[in-house]
Amino acid sequence: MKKIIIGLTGRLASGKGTVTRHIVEKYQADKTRSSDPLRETLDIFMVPQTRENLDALSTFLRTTYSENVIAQAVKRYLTKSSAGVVIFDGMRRLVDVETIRSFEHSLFIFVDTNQEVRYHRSVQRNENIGDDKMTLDEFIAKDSDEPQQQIEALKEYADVILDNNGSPDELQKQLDERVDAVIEKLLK
Amino acid sequence: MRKVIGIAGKIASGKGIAAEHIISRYHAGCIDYSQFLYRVLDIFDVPHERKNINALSIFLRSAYGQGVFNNAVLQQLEKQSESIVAVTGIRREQELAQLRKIEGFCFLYIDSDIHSRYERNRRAARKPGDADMTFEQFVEKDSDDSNNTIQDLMVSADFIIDNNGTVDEFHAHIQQVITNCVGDSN
Repeated sequence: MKKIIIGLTGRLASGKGTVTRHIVEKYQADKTRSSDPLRETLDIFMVPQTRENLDALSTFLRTTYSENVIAQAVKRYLTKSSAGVVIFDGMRRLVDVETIRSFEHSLFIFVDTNQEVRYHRSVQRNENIGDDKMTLDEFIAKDSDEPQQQIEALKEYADVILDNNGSPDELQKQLDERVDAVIEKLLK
Repeated sequence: MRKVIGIAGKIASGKGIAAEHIISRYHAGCIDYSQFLYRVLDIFDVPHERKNINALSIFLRSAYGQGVFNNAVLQQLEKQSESIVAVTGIRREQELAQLRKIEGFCFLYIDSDIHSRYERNRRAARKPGDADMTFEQFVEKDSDDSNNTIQDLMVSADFIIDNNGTVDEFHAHIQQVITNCVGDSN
């Protein structure tokens, strides 16, 4: 069976979740996050999956074994999945792009949304504790850290850049017309 | 009532043989303290070399606390359905103290001299580099941070099994001790 790997990225509160839901529902896609191998490790030892614990493990693995050790684990997760469409959610580094491109059929989607729109959505959805109380300045500070900067640099490698500055319907239209068209072509 | 049999002993003392004996004779389950490290190395496809295992072990303890391995063992124990479970590779007093809280726990220490263990370790060559290890390297390994607390557990043992004789003698001794441990009901 043909297998399509869909890499997905975008900055904080850009709308990746909406894109993921669409692809999962429409194509019964499986999904893997870059943190999944780290989360599986913490679960073995019943260590809480906080950002701090995940980061400590990530740093240890990359500095002790090899810089690409996590990316390669993600690649094995993507390979193991029996679904026809597999989403790699939350790509951050160039090595993640290399990972999806190592599969025969890949699609890289970048969700592009400007900062102010993302700020207002982040306050509204309140995904992590305290998000609803965050000021614009605090959001900008969080949005400028290194991992977020790295994400921006991946845009030029994307196959599809979705503009999510408009209404939910406008995003849906792009998903129907642009994303589905490519996936269906790849599935043929 | 479920019987949990703890096993400790230094490198190549015969813990694996004792666990195998209990598994095959009693259809027991087995949990090895080091299996969780192997599981992590497998997630990341890192070779099972001693230096990789040790680095991970040191990191996990220092980042998440000394009790991480016990958490993993106790979580795994809940998943095991067998009426007898061997828990092997106990290294520290603290780990043993946790296991002691389990009702029906019984603790065996396997005692074997360093020369016999060196020869066994070289022949078994379970890890890369073991086959070529010199006696001096083995002594150094045997007393490093991850191994130098094991012998302190001997004084707390319910049963000490000597493994300096023949394989048959060892098996006979294991059988005798396990019979005492699990009682007549099994």
